[in-house]
Amino acid sequence: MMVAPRLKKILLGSFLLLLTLPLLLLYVWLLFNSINSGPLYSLIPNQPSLRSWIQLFSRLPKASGMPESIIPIIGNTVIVAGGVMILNLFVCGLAGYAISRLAFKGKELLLSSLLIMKAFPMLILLIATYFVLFYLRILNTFLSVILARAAMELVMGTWIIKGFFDNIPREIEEAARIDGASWITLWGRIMIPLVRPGLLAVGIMAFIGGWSDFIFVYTFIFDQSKWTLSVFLYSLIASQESVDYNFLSTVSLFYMLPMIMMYGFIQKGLTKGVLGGGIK
Amino acid sequence: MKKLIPYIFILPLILLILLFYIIPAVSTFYISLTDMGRSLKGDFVGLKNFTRMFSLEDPVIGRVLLNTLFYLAGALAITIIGGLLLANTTASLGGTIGAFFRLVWFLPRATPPVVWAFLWIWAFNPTQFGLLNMILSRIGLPGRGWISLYPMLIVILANGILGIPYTMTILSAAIGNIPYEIIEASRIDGASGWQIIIRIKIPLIWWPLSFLTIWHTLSFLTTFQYIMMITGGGPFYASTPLALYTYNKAFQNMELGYGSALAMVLIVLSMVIILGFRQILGLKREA
Repeated sequence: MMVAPRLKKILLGSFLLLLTLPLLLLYVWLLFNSINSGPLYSLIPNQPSLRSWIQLFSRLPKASGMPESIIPIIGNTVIVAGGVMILNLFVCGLAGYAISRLAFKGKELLLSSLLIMKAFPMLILLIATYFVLFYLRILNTFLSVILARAAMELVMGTWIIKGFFDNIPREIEEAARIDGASWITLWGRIMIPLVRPGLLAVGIMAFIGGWSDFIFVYTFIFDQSKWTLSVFLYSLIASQESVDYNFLSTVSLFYMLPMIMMYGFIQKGLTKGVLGGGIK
Repeated sequence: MKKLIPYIFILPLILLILLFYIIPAVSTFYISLTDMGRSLKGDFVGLKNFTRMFSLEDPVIGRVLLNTLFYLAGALAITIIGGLLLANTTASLGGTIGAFFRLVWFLPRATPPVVWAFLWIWAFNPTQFGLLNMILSRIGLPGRGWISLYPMLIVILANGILGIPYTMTILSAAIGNIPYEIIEASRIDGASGWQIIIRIKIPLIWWPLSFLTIWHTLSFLTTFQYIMMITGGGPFYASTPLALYTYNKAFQNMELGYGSALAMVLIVLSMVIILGFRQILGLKREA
């Protein structure tokens, strides 16, 4: 009777391990290939080397039609991700506050359309979005990707920030208003700092969205000088020239690392924010 | 003046919604009634694009719709059953081991789309560089061109597994919220492990489960980037669902008019799904 649950746990664990192994293998293989010189034929690096990592930051491997340096590509990716983040913080910070605290006509309509948009997949509208961006004359600019990606992320963001504002006691606001604070001061100096954990979460989510975006950059950007890491990596994969798997794994890992770190960060921040907001 | 303040606060949001939801939705309908091509100018052709689609004048549309159905069913099954399985098993295992498995299964979500696609292309690469072929050759079996042999299966797996982290996270939280007493009481009453899952746990997490199913139905119906990168929809449309077909018609063949008509089908389908389940989405606003 005492042994049975233990045995069951071991069986469960082994079953799960079996299921997880292929997935784990994929990532381990990616890691090992990036620190090996020459493609791996087994699961253990046979010629450990940092060659690809050095290549990544010095001179990219020569291939026709490929950029020479990774630095501008990283720069472009940061511009897009940072742009989406800043725009989203601004839009969600304003709208989240208004929806949580202010009364205005059409609020119910806005709330129900946000709810529908939360589920509505914006990608279906890609063709018409392309058309809209064409008429705004911003195709082939970072702005097109930033705006589109921000629009994709902001429904969720507004919702989250609204939730954080909902948790702040109304007394704080009323006290400030009696003291004669203007609307802008009230929002910028008093309310916004109180929802900082929410902004952090929304900001990081928006940054991740911009950082990982592929389809918008691929569709709206035509110049190689404006490539981000996603399109660069895709072009490397799709190029017909001999593929250097060590280098491909290195680019992939390098591209992936910031996302893993931010997801790690966000989980702590979110729990803290939710807890902090609930207690105070 | 004071009455205007709320509108100033929501103005940026409204502008972006107009530019990227409302105007594109209306434009999609308008473009679908034209023969718009590369020049982004088109003549009004009425319902020609729709008759081309519905009268099966387009020879591949039947195939594409069938693919969509298979792909949706397959990917949904993997995402929901996989997520449920992982949430439940890691909860029973508990502690560090459970957390370890949850961490590994969260990785796909922290992987940029292009890297995720690359992992699949590479794993099933037809040469000896592919992970699967490499393992097969180690145990003396011949390698094969997996992606062209089983394009649909691979595409279903790649998308389905990508949904697991989200499903697992939400269901783990939901299962964690079930009061321990309920499970314990049913165990004392002699319920088996399976009975507890089917009769007690699943009914108690019914809402998140249906939310996740709807959410993923919409997501699988409309995302195509992984398929585009992994199989390109081929060979010969073998793995092309409607969303990818729409994208290719519009941006590869530059038939924006016909592409928009296909997109209209997706929009109507999505709206039907959303409105049909508005109760569930609207009544509870968690998740």
